[in-house]
Amino acid sequence: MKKFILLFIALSTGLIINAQVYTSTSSDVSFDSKTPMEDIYAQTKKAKAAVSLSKRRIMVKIKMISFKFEKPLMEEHFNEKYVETEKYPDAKFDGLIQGEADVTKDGTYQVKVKGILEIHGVKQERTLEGTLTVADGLVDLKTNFSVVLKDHKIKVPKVVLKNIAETINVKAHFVCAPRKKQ
Amino acid sequence: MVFLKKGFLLAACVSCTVLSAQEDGMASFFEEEADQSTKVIATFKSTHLINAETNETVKKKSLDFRITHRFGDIAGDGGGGHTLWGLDNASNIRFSFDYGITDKLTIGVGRSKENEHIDASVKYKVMEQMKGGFPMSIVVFANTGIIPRKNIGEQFPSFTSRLSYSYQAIFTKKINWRASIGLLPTFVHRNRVSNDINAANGSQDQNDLFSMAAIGRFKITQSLGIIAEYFYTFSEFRRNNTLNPYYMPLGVGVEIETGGHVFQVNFTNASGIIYNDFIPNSADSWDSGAFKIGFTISRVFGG
Repeated sequence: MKKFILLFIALSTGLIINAQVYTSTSSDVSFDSKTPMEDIYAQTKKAKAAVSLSKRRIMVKIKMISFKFEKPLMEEHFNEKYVETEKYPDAKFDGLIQGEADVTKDGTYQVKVKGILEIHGVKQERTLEGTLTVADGLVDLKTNFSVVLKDHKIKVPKVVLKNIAETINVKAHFVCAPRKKQ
Repeated sequence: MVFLKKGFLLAACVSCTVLSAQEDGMASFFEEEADQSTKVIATFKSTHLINAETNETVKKKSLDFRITHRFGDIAGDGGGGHTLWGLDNASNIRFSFDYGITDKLTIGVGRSKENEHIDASVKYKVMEQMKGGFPMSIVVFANTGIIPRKNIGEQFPSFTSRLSYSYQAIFTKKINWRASIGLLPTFVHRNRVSNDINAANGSQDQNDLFSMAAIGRFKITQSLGIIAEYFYTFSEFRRNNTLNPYYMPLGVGVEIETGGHVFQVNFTNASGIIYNDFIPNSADSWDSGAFKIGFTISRVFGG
């Protein structure tokens, strides 16, 4: 019996250590749309990410309303007309790190993360490329990727078609620390 | 042996709990402050519906330039084919500038053709509707109007007799992305009123008038919506008055938004555009065809 209890404790502790989740302590997500007519830029520092190195899983959630634009009217149109924040409040990503590299060890890795990107309520399977750095007990994530508006059924009215690019460039950076137990 | 089995079971249960707790470790992070309430935006497209104010203010450091135009009566005595259903006439035109000092505080000036009325206004957002929080927006509005036109027949015995004031509380609620509604208790004070008496009930015109407005919008698409507003003015003098007829101001219209412009076509029986004009005086009735085509163009600069 004692052996069992010992085994159990050893197992469960092992599980807890292995399944350490890192959650974002700082984040910076921005996107830009460049056309000859107009450059549009928006940024948020309120995005959230969670990483499990053992499970090789990365999850991200962004409140669309938290994006700040240069012009308040752009921000209103973005939320009200294009991404329809009230109906679809969040953008999400949930993916698994591909490849063989053992990311639980300290180091910098060029990673491909395959998963589901959800924007405007439309889910797309995507493989996003980025840099994953594990050092000093922190996980640092950086990625650049593009979003095609059509892929997510984001409609742009004809009159502003020249002002908004069909493909939006997204930059994201997260610093994650071990999640504290509650 | 039985004891051992129990131990197994216990261990299995506990490790399951530990496992599931860890499984949630990622997802649960996102659930924190999930119900954090956020501001409800764009209850209405613009600061004005047809004539009524909405809960919207001009954004900080932005300037809203607005042209409000009312053609002549479509039918009735002044309308019909001879005036191209009112298009030959301009019952009223108002130019206005509204500026956002902060996101919550807007000041404005305007000038109407009717009475040559010049108005200065202030509007302030007191409470904002929150998703998962406060259920509506509350905005207060006040203006002062001055009638600078020629003093024909000593109509204006003094400077102050040319002044009038409106005070309004604006309660609005965005029900969903399509529908927004509002209730606007409005108070208008005119320093000078006529001495006319309503023959029907012997009542005299009052300096202080109270009117309750209901406003609404229904969106067809993200850029196109139907709008309506109705003012019910509580006034004995204005009831069944044959000498100075009064009809409750009612407006309906279509609103189109394209980038920074909001364009609107509407029909209303009111010729006045500001409260100080149309709440006391709306002499034309829908029944007799004396409603007008109107349009409003709003352009926001710096926003």
